[in-house]
Amino acid sequence: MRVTIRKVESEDAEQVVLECVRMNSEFADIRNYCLSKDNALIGYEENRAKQLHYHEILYLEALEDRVFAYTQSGVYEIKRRLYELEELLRPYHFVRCSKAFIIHLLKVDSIYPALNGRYCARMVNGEDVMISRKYARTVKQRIMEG
Amino acid sequence: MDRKDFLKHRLLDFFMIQTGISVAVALIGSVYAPDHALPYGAFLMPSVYAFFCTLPTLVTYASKELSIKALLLRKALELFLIALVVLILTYLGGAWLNLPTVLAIMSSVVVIYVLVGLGDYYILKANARQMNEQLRQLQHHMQAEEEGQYKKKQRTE
Repeated sequence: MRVTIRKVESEDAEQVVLECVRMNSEFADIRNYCLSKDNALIGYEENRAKQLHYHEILYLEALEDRVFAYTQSGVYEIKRRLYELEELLRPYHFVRCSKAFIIHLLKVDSIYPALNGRYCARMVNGEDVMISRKYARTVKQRIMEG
Repeated sequence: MDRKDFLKHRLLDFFMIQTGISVAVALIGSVYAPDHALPYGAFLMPSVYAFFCTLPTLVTYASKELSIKALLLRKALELFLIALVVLILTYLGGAWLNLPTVLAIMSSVVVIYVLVGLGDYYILKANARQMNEQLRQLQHHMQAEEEGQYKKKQRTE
């Protein structure tokens, strides 16, 4: 595969152009990598890839071996592990709130107490995500740090 | 709530139980034995009761998340153990346990248990309020930052 690099005058003109006979898995990987460099993840909905900007994501959930991102418009599968996403999204105000969930703090409408020392985060779409006892302190610390 | 927070809450429970017992003793005593004089040692009694009543609350601790059913079962066990502890301590203290006294003690246990539960809930609610206030500030700050970046981008264009 040939790789050509051309210099451009401004950042706005920067782009990656892929030229291929057909979109195979190698090109799809390169495309997904490029898209993911733009503060975004690649979400899959019925095998169709969609670029999900971090600010669109409300929360992430791990279900068995799969990870799903919830946005206002839908649910998308993310082909990465939850712990990787926890690391990746930490600087963008995402925090792990239980074994299976990561919430976006900027998309939390309110936090209220639940049973036995737990809290619940009500997201801007009205859904509730449980903050477990184990992660309650971390969530509080992250909120207080800003 | 991790182990440290759990123990911190148990300490708060201890003080709430101690206060509740002091009030209950004053109320029950004024009804059943209004003329009875208490020795100085009696002032330690609420602390002793509170200590032994705090111990059963440890049954609600679990390293894993409990289901609602498991939690309610543990709460029921906790209340039963507290009632048992109070009766044993009262009996060991030499009190005459007849039915009205037992009923009065059990009612006090339930009332104090509910009040301590409400106290715990109030603490969690205060924590949640603090987090919500901070969250609002963070969200406003990030929104202002995004708007600033957008305006800057527009100016450069």
